[in-house]
Amino acid sequence: MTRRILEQTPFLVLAALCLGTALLTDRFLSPVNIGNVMLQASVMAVVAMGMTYVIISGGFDISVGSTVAAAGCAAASVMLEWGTGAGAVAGVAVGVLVGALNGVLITKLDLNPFIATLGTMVVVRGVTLLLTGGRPIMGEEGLPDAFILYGRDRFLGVPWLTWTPILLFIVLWWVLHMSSYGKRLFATGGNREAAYLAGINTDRVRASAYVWCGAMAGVAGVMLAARLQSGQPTSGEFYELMAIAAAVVGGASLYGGEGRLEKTIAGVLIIVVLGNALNLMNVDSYWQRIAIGTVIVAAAAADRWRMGRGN
Amino acid sequence: MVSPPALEARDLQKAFGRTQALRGVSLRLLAGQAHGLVGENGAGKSTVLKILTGIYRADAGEILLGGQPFTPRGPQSARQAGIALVPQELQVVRGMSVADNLLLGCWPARAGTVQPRALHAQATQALARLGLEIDPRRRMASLSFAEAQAVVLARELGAGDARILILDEPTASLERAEVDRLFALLERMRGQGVAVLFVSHRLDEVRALCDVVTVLRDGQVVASHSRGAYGDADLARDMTGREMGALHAAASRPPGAQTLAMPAPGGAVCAHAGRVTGLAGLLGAGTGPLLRRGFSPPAGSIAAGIGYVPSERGRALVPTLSVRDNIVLPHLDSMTGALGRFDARAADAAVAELIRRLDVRPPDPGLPARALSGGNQQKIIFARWLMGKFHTLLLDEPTHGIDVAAKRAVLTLVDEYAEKGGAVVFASAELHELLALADDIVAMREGAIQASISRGPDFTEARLRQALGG
Repeated sequence: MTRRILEQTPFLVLAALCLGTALLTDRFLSPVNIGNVMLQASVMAVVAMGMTYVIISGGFDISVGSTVAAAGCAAASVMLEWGTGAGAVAGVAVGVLVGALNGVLITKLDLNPFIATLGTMVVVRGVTLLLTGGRPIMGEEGLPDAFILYGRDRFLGVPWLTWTPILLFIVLWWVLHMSSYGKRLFATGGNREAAYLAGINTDRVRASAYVWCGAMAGVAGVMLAARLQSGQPTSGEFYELMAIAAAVVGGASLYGGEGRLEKTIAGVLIIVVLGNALNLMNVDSYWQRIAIGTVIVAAAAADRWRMGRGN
Repeated sequence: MVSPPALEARDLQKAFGRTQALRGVSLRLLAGQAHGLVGENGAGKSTVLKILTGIYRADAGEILLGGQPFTPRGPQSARQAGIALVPQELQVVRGMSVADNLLLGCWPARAGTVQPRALHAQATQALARLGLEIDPRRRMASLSFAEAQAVVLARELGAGDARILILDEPTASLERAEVDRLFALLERMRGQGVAVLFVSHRLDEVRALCDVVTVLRDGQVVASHSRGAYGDADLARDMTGREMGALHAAASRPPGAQTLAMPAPGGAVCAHAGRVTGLAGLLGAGTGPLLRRGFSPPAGSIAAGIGYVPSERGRALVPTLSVRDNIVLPHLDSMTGALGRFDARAADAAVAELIRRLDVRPPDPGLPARALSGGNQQKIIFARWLMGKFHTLLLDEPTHGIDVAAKRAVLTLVDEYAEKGGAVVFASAELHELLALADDIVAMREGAIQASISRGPDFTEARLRQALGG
């Protein structure tokens, strides 16, 4: 029974946080603020969903922040020449490429995921700054109208930027929790040797997780470019840390083999709502960092405590 | 005036949540005596050990140390009171030297600086006390398991003031010669008046070493025997609470078609349909690596109809996945529908049947595999290969570290599998298992095949021992 309740912790924490904030300040539930929270959570949610795949596979990817920036700049540049669709595809393609590179480094060269993605994080950022000269990409007359609308407009009252993670969530959730591929991913992360002995191509499974993660970082990069109406070579910093934090707050195990996509989303919302609440209550932004850091440590400690209770 | 027991436990009780682990266990350890403690997994052996060594506190009952009431406040206080424990998993720092490990945490120091000369001297002394010839300067990582165990033994015995020595499954990873050496060491301790508590699954060793053996079942003492007054069958009956018939002594089955040949120096080990081929070898004889090579690469072997059960369950089981998912793991391809969908209904149906047939407990396919006992985890790994078309099973020590009843279940499974026409290669260090089950036995030593013995007048333990050189 306690176990059942413990498993729902991320949702309970999120509900308590929302309730508490709503009671403390009436601005929290205003349509403008809710829209803000959704927009802030949207980009982060996409990155965090990809990260959840990698963490479940038993890995780690700290290159996603750089990938977001690279994908955004690639999308913006291509878009100015060949239009919105081509730009979006280019952005996602950059993400897939970086993910594939990470996957090869980690499985074929057998590098530690932390070190391998630390390397790609720095290299990708460097290449992005080099090719853009460190300047934002927005063209003479700005990015195409369709793209600007995607970053600004709503559909059924919900921003297009929020529809994106909702649709992706449905696909990614199904793949992770309903497909045979998902089983292979959980098995590989839970015990790589056992998965290998059961005939699973664990290298391919692990590499594919980085490709998913890179692709999601690519999508997030395109979304961020739409929101900022430009490709920003310095954007996306700390996204990797926030995405990992969201997955851990949502209960994914850094040892691999455990995690649920809906809980990662809860983790994203906990972090975003916490920041938003402190903002609304005019708490210094320095304090916000301290608060978020504390939540991350508390989530990790709760995870250890839960593991220690048997099983 | 009779001196009081070195250690006496009276009516120990302990509950974990709603599970009553100990229901009043009493135990008397006499100075200079070796006392065996046996029982199935979950009978309460490790709970008793943890209470005696201060890791748990008993809910009720008392401990008398040399006649005086004693309540250990933690592992450290038990150690100071003279209770030494050699755990199954050795706690050593592999990167440090033997001397560092011997005096772990109490290195001789002056002004915060370790004195290398004093360290070396004290370490040498501790090793000499046990008659061990290990260079204290060696790195711990370079020691064999038996040597490392001896170092831990020397460390836990401290400066010679330990009066009670507790060993938890100390022989599980030892070769025969090493077991003999350990027993000689324990004899020496007994001679110095130390009370030895020996916890083991290996009944023959308990019989050889112990003056008294206490049997636990369901958290209670169900029997206590003195040396010479009991046999293995008595212990097995006490432990399980039921009579065990002899294993189906396989009348030699006719050899079927060869399904797999695993070459090794001196010949090849072959699997034949409808037959059990035993693979005998002491630790390090190369039986494990041979089977692993026979299952390589895994994906190809599985496609060819070959299943493999490694000697360590941890290598084959995904602890975080459910029982069901662990069973169907090698069969995912055949359970995949449109768009890569996992066919949960087909998996549930297949698994429900296997769980019933193998009597997996608890019979809940949704439980994470780590929640099951060792014997039940082993059944899950077996269940994998009883699904679909597998004609050959390679089993590496499949009964290692599981209790008597689970062992029996595993052996019966192997027997049935062969009866139905499957080919089995079965490696075990327990020769009586092989003699009971196999149609022929291949003996290996140092990676090479020494002899192949078929059922007949030569099919004896003595002949096997000779071939193994032990």
